[in-house]
Amino acid sequence: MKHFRTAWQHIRRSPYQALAAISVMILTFFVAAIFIFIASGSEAILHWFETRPQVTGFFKDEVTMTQVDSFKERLNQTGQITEIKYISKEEALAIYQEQNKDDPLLLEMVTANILPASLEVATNDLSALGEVAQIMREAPEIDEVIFHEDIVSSLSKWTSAIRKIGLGLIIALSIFSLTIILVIIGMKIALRKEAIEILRLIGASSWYIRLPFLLEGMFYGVIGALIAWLISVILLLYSTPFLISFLAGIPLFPVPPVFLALVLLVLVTGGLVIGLLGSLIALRRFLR
Amino acid sequence: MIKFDQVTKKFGKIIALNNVSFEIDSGEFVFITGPSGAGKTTITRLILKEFEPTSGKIKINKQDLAKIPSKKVPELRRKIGVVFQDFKLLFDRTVFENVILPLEVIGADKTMIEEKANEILKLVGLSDRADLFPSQLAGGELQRACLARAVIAEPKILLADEPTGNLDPATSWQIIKLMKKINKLGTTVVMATHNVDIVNSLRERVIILGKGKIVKDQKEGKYETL
Repeated sequence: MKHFRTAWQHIRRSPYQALAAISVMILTFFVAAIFIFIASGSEAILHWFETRPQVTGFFKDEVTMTQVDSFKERLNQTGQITEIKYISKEEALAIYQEQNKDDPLLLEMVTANILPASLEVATNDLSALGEVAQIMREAPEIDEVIFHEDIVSSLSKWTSAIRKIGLGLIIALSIFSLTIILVIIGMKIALRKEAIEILRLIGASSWYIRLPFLLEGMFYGVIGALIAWLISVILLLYSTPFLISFLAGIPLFPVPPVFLALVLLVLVTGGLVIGLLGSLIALRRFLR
Repeated sequence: MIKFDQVTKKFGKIIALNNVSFEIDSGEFVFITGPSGAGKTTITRLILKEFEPTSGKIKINKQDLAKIPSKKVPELRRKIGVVFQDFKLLFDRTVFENVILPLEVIGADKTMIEEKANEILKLVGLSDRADLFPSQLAGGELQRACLARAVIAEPKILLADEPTGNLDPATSWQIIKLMKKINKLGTTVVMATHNVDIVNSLRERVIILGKGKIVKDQKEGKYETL
């Protein structure tokens, strides 16, 4: 308790250094939080697409129902199909109306006639999709094919790029914060050199002298992480309505509280580690 | 209590102490005198194990200092109270907080700390200054605070390095009287000083150093200039 009080006294007596330390920690952990959100989000989206091996073929307008049925039959013969679903022009309009119910202007301009009927085909796995897609592309009844594998592969490329950039940025910012903590704690040690010498002469153990500096470093880390978490969560909640409409149909929201708690845990642990490490290096460097 | 056995301390080519041997018994009051650079401060710093002797043996309470690992040095220092010429008080703590430091570093019980502090502040006459900061005190008061800090944990040995060096004669006498009082209570006192009047009036044991060697070691000694 005594050490906490001493550490708090050190912090209070140099508010600008404390502000600098905490701000750089907030920046680091805010960026970390945002990248954790983006990485986990894109991971979830990718997973959603991967578990839905699906290819959609849009029929040409002149195609009749008998042609549709015979085409369905042809696909079933491949033996790879788990589900096959015909969506008529009217059903397509209903889906369209549901997706754009808040935008009357978009609803007005569209009738069932201009929307194509389509066939949604699901297969056992991703690899079988290629074969089905090929059949569809060659079929004269089909106008256009949308193939999930394309989405999945480009999405996984993006996810891995985001992960790499995020990781690089987080590492760079962590080193940056570590250095700031090291410099600030080092300055405080230098400022208190005489007091430290006196404490040593009256028999203070090395931990009695070190502990307040370690606590100070950890304080900066934890407070920075907490504030960064708070800002990022507020930002996430604020942008949830936009993200829901942007990712229509992909069930990412609401973000589970357990996930947010986990992010908090990761950030606070990171703060503790950076703060502790920075102070430890400063103590080694400046306190023999 | 304190034993120096053929102790030599060199700093590079400079010989601070040259083959010095002496023994101080428990409960003694000893002056160490001699001109600047004679080695007085080196003796106190060797006792506190701030550095090691180049050769020779130092024993405190029959314990060989060379055999104390650096981790155990704080324990050694807790048994020795020190008064400095420049007081060495922590400027950002009150008199009370400064005085209780030796008890605080050993994690003493709070009520015990409070009791001891009141007792010791009364002894040195600083009860009404307890909540002031060092910058608000006069020289003599600072030295009394330093003395209170040195003895609060009831050390067996009190080292004083020129404790009156920065004080006027009247104030110096106050400090010396306090140190005599503490000595009467059973603490061994070793005091390095230049103060002729004090040494000559007290007629205690005097060890005179010159150029790193013991020139004279007298019971009921007097100050002698070399």
